[in-house]
Amino acid sequence: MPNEQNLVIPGQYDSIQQACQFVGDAAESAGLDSQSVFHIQLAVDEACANIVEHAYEGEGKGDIRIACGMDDVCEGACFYVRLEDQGQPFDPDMVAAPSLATDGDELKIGGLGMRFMRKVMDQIEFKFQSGSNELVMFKRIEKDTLPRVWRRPLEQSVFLVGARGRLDHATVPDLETALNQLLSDGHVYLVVDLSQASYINSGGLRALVSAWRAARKQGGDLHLCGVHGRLREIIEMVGFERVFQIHSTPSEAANALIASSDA
Amino acid sequence: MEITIREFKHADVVTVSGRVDSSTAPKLDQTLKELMDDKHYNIVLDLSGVEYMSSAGLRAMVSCLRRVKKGPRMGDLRLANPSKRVAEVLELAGLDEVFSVFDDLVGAVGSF
Repeated sequence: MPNEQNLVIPGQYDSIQQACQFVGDAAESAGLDSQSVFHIQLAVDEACANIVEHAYEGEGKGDIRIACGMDDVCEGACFYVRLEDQGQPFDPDMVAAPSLATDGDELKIGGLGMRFMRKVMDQIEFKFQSGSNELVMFKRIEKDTLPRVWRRPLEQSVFLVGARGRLDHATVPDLETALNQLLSDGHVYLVVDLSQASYINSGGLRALVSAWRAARKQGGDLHLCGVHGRLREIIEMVGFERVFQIHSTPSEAANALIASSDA
Repeated sequence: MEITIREFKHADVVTVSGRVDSSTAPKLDQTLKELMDDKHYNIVLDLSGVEYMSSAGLRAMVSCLRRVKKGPRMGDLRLANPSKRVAEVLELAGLDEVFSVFDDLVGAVGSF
């Protein structure tokens, strides 16, 4: 996957929040609504807690590898999260289903995390191979509900503008509007995330350059991130890699902007 | 996660704020256990400041509910002010029917 992001956390409870933050940022960057972002974070939280408790049978026994991104292969679009651990083979389905009978001793609540994962995600796949547990969870997204251009605050005074699909005559005006609005509101540190974009035309390139000029004129800057595949070819063909600073992830771009504003 | 306890005439209010997840839930579990060890069985959990709750938090709440209901005083653990997200988690777990949930703290305390 061109836009897959990765993180490794130690298998302990106080590190799980970092994993939730990471997938939440990635899902938000992909333009998912806040409800879907919350569902994905909840599922990852529960899955990681299960790994520590059942696969590693305790804290500090090994790492959890997390990968996530958008998968356009399935019907519509999917946000997927893949979790890997080196603990003992653990099939989440083997955890007893929760029983919530309220009469005294019968109030047991095991397997609740798994129930959450099944309820908030659309599909869950599990396999154990060559010493690793691999759990993949999919959240289906109606493509029509995804915005083609979106923006959100990133860090401190840095704002992100993301764009999806083909940046052509249909989408470029939205991109221009988003950039211009941020600039006129005085937000001059901008990151344009192109990880979900598949193509950009000359109008889109012009919009990027004119926003970059305006940002610099106001003492700020505009960096790009997630430039991949065909898009990278286009950007390099017109020599834009010499104009724009290009980073792999939004947080890298934000850090670079913050560092440059401090300098 | 922060926890404070206030004693009222008919019930104790346990105010929780922040994230209640697998790393913080043991502290909530411990706090509730200590209250019950002191024979406090009427408890209101004020959830207005809880921004996130996972199944680990629910487990602590359910084990408390189980014990106060069994207690000689026939107590209860009632919930006040769950945020939209926390209410959704309760519903996902099927616990919205198990707990008495109040929209405001006064109503929850007054119900005892």
